[in-house]
Amino acid sequence: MKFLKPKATDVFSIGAAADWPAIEFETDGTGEHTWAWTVQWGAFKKTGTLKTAGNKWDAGPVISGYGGTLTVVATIAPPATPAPKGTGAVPTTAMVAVKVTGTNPTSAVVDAYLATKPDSTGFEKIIAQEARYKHFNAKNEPIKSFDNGYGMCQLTTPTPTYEQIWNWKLNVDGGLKLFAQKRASALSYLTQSSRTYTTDQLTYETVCRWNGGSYHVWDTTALKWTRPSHILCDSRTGNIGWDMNDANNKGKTEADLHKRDATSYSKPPASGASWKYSGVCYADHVLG
Amino acid sequence: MRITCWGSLLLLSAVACKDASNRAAIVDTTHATAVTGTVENGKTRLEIRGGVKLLRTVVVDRDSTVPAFAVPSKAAVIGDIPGVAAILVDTYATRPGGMSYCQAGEEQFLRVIPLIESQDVQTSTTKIASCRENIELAAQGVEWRADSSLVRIHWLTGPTPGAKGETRTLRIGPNAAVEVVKP
Repeated sequence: MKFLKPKATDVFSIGAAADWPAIEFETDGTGEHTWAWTVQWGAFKKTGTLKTAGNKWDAGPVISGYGGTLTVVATIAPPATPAPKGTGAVPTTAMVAVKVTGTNPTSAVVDAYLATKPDSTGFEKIIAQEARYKHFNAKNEPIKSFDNGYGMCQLTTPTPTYEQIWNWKLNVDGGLKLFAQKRASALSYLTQSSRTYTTDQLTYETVCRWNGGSYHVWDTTALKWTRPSHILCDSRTGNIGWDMNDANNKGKTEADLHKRDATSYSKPPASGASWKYSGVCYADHVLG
Repeated sequence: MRITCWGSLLLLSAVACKDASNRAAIVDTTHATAVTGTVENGKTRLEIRGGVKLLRTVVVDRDSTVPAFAVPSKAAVIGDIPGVAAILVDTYATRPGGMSYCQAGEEQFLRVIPLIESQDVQTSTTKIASCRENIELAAQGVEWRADSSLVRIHWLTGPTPGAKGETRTLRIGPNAAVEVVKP
């Protein structure tokens, strides 16, 4: 027995809308078939077995959510009468392996997906800034960072599931879960002592907290939330800034400070450094 | 009689020695005024000083939200019971996640450190702020009440899931043991 389709070199692409393709298997065997399948990508693996009455099977539905190498072993029952002497036994199994790869969504598709999610305002800007809407690399496999962050949202902890790694929508949902925690913290902060806030302030506060720290300070004179005036951002970076109350920074311009510190930006600020990563600068940079 | 006399003498010596050791234990009432922190095999070495005098050195754990190589960005004594315990807070940059998550975040630990080394009483640690775990202090922060040996932690978002406005009070006993005071 052998596979009529697919060919071992075939590649099946997951659609940009995270829709899995039909992957049709067909052998030249007859009768009931048992299909044992394994889909694997790195350490992630799923297996299963099912039967069909005939020689065709669409693997699409069972591997929905997974990508990588799909290996299928088809088995049929041996013939009731043995093959004539000298002709050799007819094989009753066949194996084939194909590739299942991804397709990056467009920014419009990601934004449209996020628009269906409550309380996600601002997260689309983080995705645009950090991932450029990319979920798959040049080999059409999920992006993996040096610290095992997977996909568009670079999910690390808790370790993402196989589905969260290959389905960009589930990956975004994982990122949104973290974003929701920051939004809840932002709300607690802005509403403390029955203070009021604007929708924009909530977005800035949430995006700032994604990077770290709080964005606003309470102006006891104006009785409103304001951006801290002592944080000066390096506009040539994503989240580097200076505390202008620091004696080392006082009276200096952004250009002065950039010139002084830029050579040390490649590593986290050393003890005693006069620059810092700043959630305030991050929010300013991401939200504009 | 003679034996009794010697026995009495030994007894008196023992009492005298015990008294001397007790006095030695309570003699040093130098206030803890400063702390410095360094990293040592993924842990933090804290040196607590009273003026120029080294009062105690301890090695304490952080957790997985702190990079293994990180030295404390800040360490401060917030109170003490002279000769008994120092209460301090050590702060670290957060181990960042992907997409710049918590790259500018901080992790903070409150420690109650016995100033006399003992097998019975270990350093008490409470996570008081965390970007990774969404724990945030309220404006009141951490209060030290020297008169009652109480530390009160005010959270805007506390470590109990879903809790808001959480408060926790720790009582430091005469041997530096810490107990959580029930509300």
